[in-house]
Amino acid sequence: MSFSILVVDDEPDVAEMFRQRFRREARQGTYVLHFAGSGEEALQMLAHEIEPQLIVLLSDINMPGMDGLSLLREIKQRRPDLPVMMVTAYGDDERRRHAAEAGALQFLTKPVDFDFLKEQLRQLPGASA
Amino acid sequence: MASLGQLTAGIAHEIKNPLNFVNNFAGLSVELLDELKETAAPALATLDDDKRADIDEVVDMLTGNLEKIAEHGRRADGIVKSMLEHSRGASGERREVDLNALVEEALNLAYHGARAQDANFNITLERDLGPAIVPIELAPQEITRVLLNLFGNGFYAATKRQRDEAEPDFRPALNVTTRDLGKAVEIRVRDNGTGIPPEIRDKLFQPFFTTKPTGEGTGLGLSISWDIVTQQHDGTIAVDSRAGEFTEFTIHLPRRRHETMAGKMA
Repeated sequence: MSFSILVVDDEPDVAEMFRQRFRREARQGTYVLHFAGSGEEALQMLAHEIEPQLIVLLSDINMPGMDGLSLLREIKQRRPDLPVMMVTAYGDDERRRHAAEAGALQFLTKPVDFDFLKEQLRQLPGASA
Repeated sequence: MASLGQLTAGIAHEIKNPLNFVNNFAGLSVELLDELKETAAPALATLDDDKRADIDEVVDMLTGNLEKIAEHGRRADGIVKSMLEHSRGASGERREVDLNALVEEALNLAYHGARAQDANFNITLERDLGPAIVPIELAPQEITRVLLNLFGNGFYAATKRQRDEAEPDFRPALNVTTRDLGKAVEIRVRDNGTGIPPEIRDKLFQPFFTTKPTGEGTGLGLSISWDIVTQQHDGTIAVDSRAGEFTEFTIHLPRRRHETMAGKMA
């Protein structure tokens, strides 16, 4: 069974880093990675069906234009069941609280602990289906 | 200096992101090289010994270089983290505390911290804690950080003098004194360590100034302490030292005005 992950970050090298970190999983077909460079682009992508089944969205918080927290709120309106994890260099309590209140499943700080992230991904409700 | 906290927070965040990439890609590349070695092993086995040794050597050097990049990246990351901690401290919550209890707690913490890092660490701790110090309002977490810094530095200087082994009978010692001065309280931290040469004394409180070997100190401890004492508590921090004999830091923390007034009325 194969699942999609959508990563939203305005830094293009984040995509390269995720690709390399998930090289094995991608080759085995466990996960297919999709990338959006902004909150707006992520919403456009979500408007269409993402194949295979999208099980999680990972979003940066500080982005030009629509920031990650606004994106999170927008997604919770449109697709309340889609788990969203925030990934940010700013691990302060206020952002953490805002993210939790808006319905984020996880709050990860950069540098991302990829072992921890992969463990979280395995525990997603969609992933066990 | 007043805006050091804000400035460091800004710089730290700007550096943190690119630094994360450096560290991450360095780590990734080590893994990729391991994979490459595995995949190429059968093909390499068919080469003659000289060529194979040559390739092995280059791959090992590449791996070593990447590990160095990751190691120095972690060092830089440590500095960035201390800078961020520093800037966060500015919102330290204030409450009335028993100064002697705070000092005792920090001393225990520092001592056990040092023991945890080095099982052979030992030092004589002398306390001369003033009796009946009226509780004082301060930011306990911040003052604890100052004390941990001063105790840590004192431990380092005193044990360094011992390690230098010029004096076989030398015993490292750290002395902590507290006094109630009425309108202020005084904390003195004195070690019988290597001392501070006069020519660097005015650099002590500058951010990033350190006498420790590369990688051991961030040079932020005393500048953070200076900030906490003078900027956050309107206090003073002074240093007295003689090279090869002792170093003594003296902190004065004023009581807030309404407290001293209440004290007079009582």
